[in-house]
Amino acid sequence: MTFFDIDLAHEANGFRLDYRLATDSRSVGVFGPSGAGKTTLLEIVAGWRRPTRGTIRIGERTLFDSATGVDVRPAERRIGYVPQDILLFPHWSVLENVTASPGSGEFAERVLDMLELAPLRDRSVLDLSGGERHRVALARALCSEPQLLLLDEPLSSLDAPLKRRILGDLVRVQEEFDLPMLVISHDPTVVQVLCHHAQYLEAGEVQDDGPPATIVAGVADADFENVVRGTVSSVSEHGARVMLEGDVSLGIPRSGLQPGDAAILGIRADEPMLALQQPIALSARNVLGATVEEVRSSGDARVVRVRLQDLDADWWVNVTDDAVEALTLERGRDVFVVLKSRSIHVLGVTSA
Amino acid sequence: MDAWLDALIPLWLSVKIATCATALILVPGALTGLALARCEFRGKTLVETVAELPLVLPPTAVGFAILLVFGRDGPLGRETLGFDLGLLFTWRGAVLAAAVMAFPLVARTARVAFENVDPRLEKMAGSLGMSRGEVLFRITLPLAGRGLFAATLLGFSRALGEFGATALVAGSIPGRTQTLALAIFADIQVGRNTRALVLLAIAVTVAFVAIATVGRVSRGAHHHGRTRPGR
Repeated sequence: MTFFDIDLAHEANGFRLDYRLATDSRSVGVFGPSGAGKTTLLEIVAGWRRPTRGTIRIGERTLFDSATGVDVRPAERRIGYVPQDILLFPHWSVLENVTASPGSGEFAERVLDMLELAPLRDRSVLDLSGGERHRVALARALCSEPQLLLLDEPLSSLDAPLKRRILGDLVRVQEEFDLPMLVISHDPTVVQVLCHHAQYLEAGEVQDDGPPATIVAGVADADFENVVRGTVSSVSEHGARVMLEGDVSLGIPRSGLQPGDAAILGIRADEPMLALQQPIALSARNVLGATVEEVRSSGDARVVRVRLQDLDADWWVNVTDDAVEALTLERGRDVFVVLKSRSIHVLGVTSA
Repeated sequence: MDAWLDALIPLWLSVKIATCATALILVPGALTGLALARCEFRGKTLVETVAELPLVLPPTAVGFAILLVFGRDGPLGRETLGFDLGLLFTWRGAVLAAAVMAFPLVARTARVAFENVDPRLEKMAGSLGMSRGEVLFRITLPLAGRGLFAATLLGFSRALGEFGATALVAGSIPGRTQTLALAIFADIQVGRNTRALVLLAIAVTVAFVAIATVGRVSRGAHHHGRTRPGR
């Protein structure tokens, strides 16, 4: 069944958005540069703007249909929206914000606990840090018991540790509430972690549609983060082992993981090394066979796309010009990807 | 001492008339400000202009217009209605004159107060399931509160200082319609300079307190209503 079925056009102030989405995936990422029309799209879905024409169907509900005159009021759309500018009610405390939605009292306690906001409940939202404000906005959206969560650049303007924290929260929310999401971001990691389907939106038009890793690959550079999913198979005092698809496993730091946990792992493009022969007697715990698919320039550096043998996935690895020359890295070259355990970051965990 | 006691009657009348005038225009002024800040409608420019007219017109012209409307043969006069509204040359007439003169200031300040509330906060409240009434009373009005308080105080101050329109509509009857402003004029006319000075001192004190309070409240309002602008 098609879960998201959106086909709309919107024209305002000389900008035209032509948007189409038809997928059975329940978590969709819209990726693209600033000014592509991403926020406009979310505000249309939320009912804050009326499209010139089109239809918006989410699950079994029709929220908008210009042909039949259906236009469900924002208050009745059951949509939780976390905008980029957060929009907390500045005259209220954390608890008042979180329970802003009528009838959200009981549910609020669970959400406050989950997002670790309980100790802040009586604090004015004007006294919160950036990360706390994000969590309050997320809690407020969840407490309205939405049928769809809209996230607009959920990690923008946060520093790296906070980004990881909020991203982890979002993964838990997704798992715990089984909540469909429409996420817009220019951050490839966010789209890969939260979404199972993605689109590339530019200048008001969908340019590409497909799996998140494929859609974000177009912008892969030295800062790119490869994202993989797996299940924790064992945990010892030395570290944890995560099984990926195709019987491939990675050794990672313990990071509080438990056997059976589902983990989403991030590997930054400048962390792995490439070798032409299988290294032996090496301190790095992970060595994976791969084949070079593409070599691309990214500023002063080069990024190499390698296809991991036994794993149906491509990783991007950042190398120098020298390395490309010395190893004659070109399409079809077999290599080994060498990765230290500590180079693998846990981006999200959901308990077994 | 007599001059001070004597001055209390025009002060009391002024306060009574200004309070009633402010109460009369507060809700219509706030609603006009809300409509001008939030709604686009046909004839908006006309409403804006009419609402601001008393700010530009000489007060005596406004007073004369009120006389024409409420005078014996006017559209709301005794001859037309068949009964007398009892406004002209009474304290109630002074309330009407002060209200008309203070209205633009209340509407204009209220408009700024509502414009300072980020409309996206109201949309967010709507998305959270609040009804329009809840959005108005839980979000918009509290966030515009300081600005609306400033509007009230400015309207009150304007009504307190009203002279021209009041003189025409209510006259200057000592003890009945002679407000602080009218009493100062009357005293100067007949050379009662000591009493005029006392009245001046009272007027300056009241105005000083009102303006300082509005200043404090307005400064706070700018920090409160608007969050970071949307991108």
